[in-house]
Amino acid sequence: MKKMGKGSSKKRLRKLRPSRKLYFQYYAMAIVLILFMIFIKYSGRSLNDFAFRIVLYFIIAIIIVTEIHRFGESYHLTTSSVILNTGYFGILSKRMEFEAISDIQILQSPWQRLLNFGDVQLFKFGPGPTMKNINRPNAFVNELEEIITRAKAGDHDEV
Amino acid sequence: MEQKEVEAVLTKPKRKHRWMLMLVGTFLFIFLFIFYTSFVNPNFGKTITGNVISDNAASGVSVNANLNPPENFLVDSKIDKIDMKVKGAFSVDGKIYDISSASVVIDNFDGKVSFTDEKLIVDGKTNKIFIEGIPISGKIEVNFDNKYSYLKLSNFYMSSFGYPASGIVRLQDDRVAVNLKSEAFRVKKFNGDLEKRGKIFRLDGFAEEAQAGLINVKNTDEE
Repeated sequence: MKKMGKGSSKKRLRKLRPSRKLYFQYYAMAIVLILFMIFIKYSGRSLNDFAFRIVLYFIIAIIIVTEIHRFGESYHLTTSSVILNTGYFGILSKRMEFEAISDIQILQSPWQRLLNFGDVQLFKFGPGPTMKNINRPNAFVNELEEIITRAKAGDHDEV
Repeated sequence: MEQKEVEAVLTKPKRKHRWMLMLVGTFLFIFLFIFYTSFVNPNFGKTITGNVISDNAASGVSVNANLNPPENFLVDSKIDKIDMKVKGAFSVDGKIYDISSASVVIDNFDGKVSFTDEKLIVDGKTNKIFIEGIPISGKIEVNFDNKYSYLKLSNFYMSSFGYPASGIVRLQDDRVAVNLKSEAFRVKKFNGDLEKRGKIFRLDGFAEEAQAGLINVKNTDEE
């Protein structure tokens, strides 16, 4: 087996964040309120200014809070490892070399199955770090396996 | 060797559920608030939004007055529509319009309107103005300090207004009619329309309290 060069092992292939599908119920609340306001407007009823402002602030708050929450976690795939970063100001960074990965497990609740996202847990002969709320986890795991296979075969050296 | 059994109680962190409950509660509150203000009580909360129209005034004493104009008049309120005919130059959004005579309509006005017998001063903001029928939209600042021949304010609010007036005042849907001759006319928390054309001055709307000469009618008197 070829050993990977030092420079190429650092090359980032992909960056991921938790899927926005995680916040589906929050977005649904905002959409319901917007649709309700549109219905009121088109049914010829008056829409209270104060209520309109509350809805506006609520929607803005939902967008800001969910985006901030989402920015708390990020995952990087390099040619030789997976890096899981957690935190906002202080960051906890876990790195797992492909060589060390023995298994990959997908965890999906019924809700996550319905919306096609889920957690991907890496195993190092024992439970390892989990990449939470990944969009289309099956496709992602296939891609990850491919990258791992190529990395183990040393293909990235040639890139 | 005897092994000690240790019992551990594992509890799930409830923070996420608490946040979800708070959010669902907020959502329901907003939803019900919109429903209430649009379907049950459309006048609710207009005082909060600055459109200062009290519930009592909207359903208060009806006032219909046809009087001589006051020496001066000032209102600082949101006005649904201003319709006026002015003479001379005026400024709209910093642009000077030098027209000898113009018919101007302002929608959704927010600011001050004052007039004397000779002059009309309009100073405030709007989002739509028609000058001789030509519309201008956007955030517009309007400044008028002109001679005028006609003025109509539609759906505005004033907390208090009064002067010694002459003319006819009808209150409570014409149930009370008073012919004033330089006698006190006063309305409190008035919401309605005003029209001024030459020596004609009309007020039409609802007030919490209205006084015409010695007759004083309050909204609570009806109940």
